[in-house]
Amino acid sequence: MGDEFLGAAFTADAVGALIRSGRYPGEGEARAIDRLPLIDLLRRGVTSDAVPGLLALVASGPDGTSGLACSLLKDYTTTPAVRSCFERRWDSASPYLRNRLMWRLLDVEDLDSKWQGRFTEFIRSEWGTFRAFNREFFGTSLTGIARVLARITDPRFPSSKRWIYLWSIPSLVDERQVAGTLLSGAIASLADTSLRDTGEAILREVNSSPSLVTPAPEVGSLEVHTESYEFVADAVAAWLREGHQPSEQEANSLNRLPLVDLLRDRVAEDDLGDGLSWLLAVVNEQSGELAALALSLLRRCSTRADIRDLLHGRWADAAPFLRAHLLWRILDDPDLPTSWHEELFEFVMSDEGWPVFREVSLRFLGTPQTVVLQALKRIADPSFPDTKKWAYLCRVPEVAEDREAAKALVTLGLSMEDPFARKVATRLLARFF
Amino acid sequence: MAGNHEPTSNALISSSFIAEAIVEHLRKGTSPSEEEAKHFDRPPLLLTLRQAMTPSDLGWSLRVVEEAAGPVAGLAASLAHDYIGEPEVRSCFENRWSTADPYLRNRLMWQMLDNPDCYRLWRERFFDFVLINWEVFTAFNLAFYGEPSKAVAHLVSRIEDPTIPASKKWLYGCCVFSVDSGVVGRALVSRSEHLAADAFSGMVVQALLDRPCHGGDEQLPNLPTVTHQGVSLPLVFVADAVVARMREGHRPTDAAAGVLNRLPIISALRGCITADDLPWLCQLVGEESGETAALYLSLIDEYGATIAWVGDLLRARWATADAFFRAHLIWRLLDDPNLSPAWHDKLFHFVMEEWPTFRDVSRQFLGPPEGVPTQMLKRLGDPSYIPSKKWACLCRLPDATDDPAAAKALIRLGRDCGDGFTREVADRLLKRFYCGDSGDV
Repeated sequence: MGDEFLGAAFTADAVGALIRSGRYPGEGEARAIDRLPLIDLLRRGVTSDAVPGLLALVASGPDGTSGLACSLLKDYTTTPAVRSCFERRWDSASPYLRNRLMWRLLDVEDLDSKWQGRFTEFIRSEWGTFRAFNREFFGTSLTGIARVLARITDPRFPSSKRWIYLWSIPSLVDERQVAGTLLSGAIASLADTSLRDTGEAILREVNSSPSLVTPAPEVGSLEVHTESYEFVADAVAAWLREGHQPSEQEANSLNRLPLVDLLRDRVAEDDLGDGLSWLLAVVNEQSGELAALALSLLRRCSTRADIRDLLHGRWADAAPFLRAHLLWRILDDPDLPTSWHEELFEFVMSDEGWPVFREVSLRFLGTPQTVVLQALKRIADPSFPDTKKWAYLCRVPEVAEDREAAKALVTLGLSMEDPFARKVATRLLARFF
Repeated sequence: MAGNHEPTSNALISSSFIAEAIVEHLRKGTSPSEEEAKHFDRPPLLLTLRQAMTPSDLGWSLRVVEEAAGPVAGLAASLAHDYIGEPEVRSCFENRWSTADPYLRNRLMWQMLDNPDCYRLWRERFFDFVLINWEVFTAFNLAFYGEPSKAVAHLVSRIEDPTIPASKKWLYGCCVFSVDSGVVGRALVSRSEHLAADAFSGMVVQALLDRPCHGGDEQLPNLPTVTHQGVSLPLVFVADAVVARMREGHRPTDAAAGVLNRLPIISALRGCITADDLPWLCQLVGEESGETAALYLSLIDEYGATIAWVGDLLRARWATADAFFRAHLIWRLLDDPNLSPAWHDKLFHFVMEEWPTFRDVSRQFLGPPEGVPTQMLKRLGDPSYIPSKKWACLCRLPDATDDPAAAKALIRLGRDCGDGFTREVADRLLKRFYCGDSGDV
């Protein structure tokens, strides 16, 4: 899944604006947003005006949404109103929200000592919640483990929080002995006696509770599903409609599956006479990533006569990079003359077109591992014109990691109903396989 | 034929039937290629192979250590691991050291360190070898222990494991450094009390810490996250070994047969079968119905379509077969490109009527659900695959994958590109399994 857009300031600005307008993400959407790096970018945009609204959400919103609101208030945790709200919410909060409240309350240096007991009890009783969140947030790679180890002694993190990093170590590894070694090492580096005692207690618990450190859940169980990005897509579409334009790099990160499909669903013809009229100007005047994104967003309107003329006219003088994007919009026309199909295919197969087409295709579809099935889904999707499907066959040669699967897909093209697709499949097989 | 080194399941590589077949093949003098030897010399298969070794195997294994080189000799040394206390083994390894290449030395070193006497006499030499041949040492460790994040976790657990001889722990410390010389590796090794407790290990750790830190102390290692990857097995060698064992009359248990009757190993096994094997295969197919009979049926492959008496046997067997056996038999019957339309109707009717059985057998054969759409795509797009059989491939897709959108897309594409009966099957599948969606029908 291409999630580079989560690290773009443009995305954070868009999501922040939508939240400020009073719309809040749903359960799964909020959890998808409450992750590094997006959450750090969003926190930077939280002003004091937003605090009351976010506090209201913490007080009464559903789990994920309350957790996100709590997370967004990180820089305000020490203010009395926020701290008091968090403390009051604890008793009635779900395990998910408690986990988020705990991390925020630990930012308070002078938190009453009784809280550490409550938090410890919570970690013990809701280990699964604590563990799953840490694994998502820090990651289970060595880098993730190193992040936690570094925070234990990093003076930039409040000393009130160090003990919870000790608890986090066994949540990130799958083997008890490794957890024990890491904990022992961390304890040895601590000067604070009371913290060392806490570490020793955790170490004893790790050694005596086999279920505490268990093998990682199956890959995929922590994955964010495409529908979790609906809110982000709403936010980005609204932000674009207000006339905000992403940078070239941001446009590149937005113009990838699965987000770009969600964005396209939100761009209708009416938008072009209104907030998104700039898309046409960008297509007409620019040739880089922003123009490529604008072209992508025009998908639902590309057969309108004036836009079709614009696309055809632009083809003549476009550089290969823009052509590699322009081609898809021109192919949206189910009545495109054969001569156009011929010209587009010749561009794809040309020495200057092929490397660019291949690169653009791969970036759009994902990774060499996923490209064949993505292309297959597009070919079999009845909402795509049959006359366009030959171009999806071109997306797999030299790009797919599984060459045999790529060849199989192209071979099936030999039996497709569209004679041009059959011709393309024959050429691709001859050249690449 | 499947590729020579395919990811496969842990069940396959921990099967004692397969391990015994491989050792028997080696015992008879079949030499693996260097690549095959490297794959055998990795856990967890290596552990199962060692269990299949007997004292009488030392003769050939030591001869290979003396006469061969590189990974082939390294595998032989590794297989003799459990007998390192025997004087003849120790003497063979010590004598071989001076003439051995770096790959073999690395393997000899690991075995010799399980002998405490070797540790005392050879440890400095071994440490010099590691430092001088750091690249060979690292390459082997990465192949042996897997990706760095898993390797570090595993190696640390070896250092902390009280059952691992203290004489070997310094070498695990070196391994940690070889797979991760950054912040985490250095932190783990420098903090280990088990390494600090032994004077030589302490000296090794200090020497390693004094080496330059790759990537710099301040830089966190940029390593892949934990994933669950299949392990590789040299399929052709294993298939030769297993078929040779079966030809001698050794029957796999039902459990072992279930493990063998799956992709990709089954393709390699079929590649070893000749017409001469048909009598013993068909005898069991005619008489039994469990996993072992299903494996033998699978091995008959396309002979049912080319040899009349085999085809007759298979068609007759349908009448007496239970649902489990039919779910296997269907594929052999479909190997016949001239199978009558009435048979196709009958087989498809069985699939729809006995769906849970067909689905379960299919899932077991195909392996992990994420690979199913791609496997079926390859069959549908393979011009050499019998066209009249392709409809059954579409039946393998529903309920078998974690990507139902890909499965549905492939059924649609199969319908658009298939013959009349395939289109009919695709429409029925789309209606039954995809909320009545039959596309534009």
